[in-house]
Amino acid sequence: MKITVLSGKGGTGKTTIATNLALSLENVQFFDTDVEEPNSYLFLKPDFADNEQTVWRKVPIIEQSKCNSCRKCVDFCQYNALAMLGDEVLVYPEVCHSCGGCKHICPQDAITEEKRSVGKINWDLDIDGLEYWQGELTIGEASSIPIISKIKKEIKDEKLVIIDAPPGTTCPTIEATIDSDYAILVTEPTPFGLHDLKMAVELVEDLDKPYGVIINRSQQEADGIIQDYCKKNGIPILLKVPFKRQIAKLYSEGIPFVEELPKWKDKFREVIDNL
Amino acid sequence: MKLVITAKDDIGFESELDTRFGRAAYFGIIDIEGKELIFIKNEATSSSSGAGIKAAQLLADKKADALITGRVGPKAFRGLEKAGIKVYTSSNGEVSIQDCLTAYKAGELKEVDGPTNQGHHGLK
Ligand code: SF4
Ligand code: SF4
Repeated sequence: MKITVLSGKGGTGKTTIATNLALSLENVQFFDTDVEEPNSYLFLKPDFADNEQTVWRKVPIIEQSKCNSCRKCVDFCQYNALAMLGDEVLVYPEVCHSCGGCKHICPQDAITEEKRSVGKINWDLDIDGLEYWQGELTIGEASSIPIISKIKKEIKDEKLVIIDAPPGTTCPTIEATIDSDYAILVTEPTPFGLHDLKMAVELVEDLDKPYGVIINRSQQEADGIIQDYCKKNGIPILLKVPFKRQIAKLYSEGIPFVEELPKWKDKFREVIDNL
Repeated sequence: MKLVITAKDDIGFESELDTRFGRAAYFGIIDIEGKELIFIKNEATSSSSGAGIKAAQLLADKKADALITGRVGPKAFRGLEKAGIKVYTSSNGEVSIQDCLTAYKAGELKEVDGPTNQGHHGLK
């Protein structure tokens, strides 16, 4: 079973839910794919030791001596990663999406490729029984997709896989969700929360995934806004995590709340058992 | 000598300066000797990535010698530099193309030797 935990925007408690969920279950493989700002390590406390792999992508280099300035590559590149300035083709590796097209179409064979680091993957195969993987994007790199696709290759079918998705509803979030069996959408009971939830719902609907909602910072008086929406659209509410000082305090200390409040482990377990 | 000024519209010397480079609406191209002004629409505005690079390419193709604008990001600057186009920024509250031209001729504009802002990222 593969479950992706996502939210339409950051700051809803997505990582809190994902990490506490992971700690409540057995045989878990956890993936932090929020590669621009992975922070689940703060709660799960992996020890990576030397477990690190660089993720590469290919970007073009131009052999100016072979190039006859025909400009075909520049016109071809839809990302504007190439420019013909003076008589030389200038490459903008940070804009290049590594599609490989320019190399293909160059009539002079003037384009070769070199490796460029997109980011890295770190792992700890045993944090008290939990297997942990984290991707991290190199600052300035435009696309997290190569890292997310790479880290997903580590998924083991016999495990209970939990993927902490990047916030938002663009390509990286889709990449982190598309291979999963179920999506948990984390939201909070505010108008902003509802707005972002709707965007997340649209994403999982487009991907045709079964999904349910967890309300974080739940407060009885406020929950109506999310409840009404879910009821109207037939979306199950899986769990409500209340807005409590104790939980907030544990969060600020980097302590997953299920460690201190073990009855929540049962609640998370129940959620998964009932999916 | 060809001078390019980024503009919000294409009505002539009174056109308002557009302080963005890559996503400027128009480029006013001035032939300083002939005092002629023509506008071209900036096709780069519709690019989801690399607008500044495409705009630099456009100016290089028009064989521009100098550019007056408000801000230039690092990628665009690299391209302009490579194409040998000098970059000046309006900093004294110049409003129209005419203001910029006057200030330029009076030597009041600052030539920049590096990007003026760190740019922004497109969709991740
Ligand atoms: S590999 Fe693709 S994206 Fe990169 S420069 Fe070539 S055509 Fe553009
Ligand atoms: S397609 Fe090849 S030969 Fe033509 S400009 Fe590009 S690198 Fe040069």
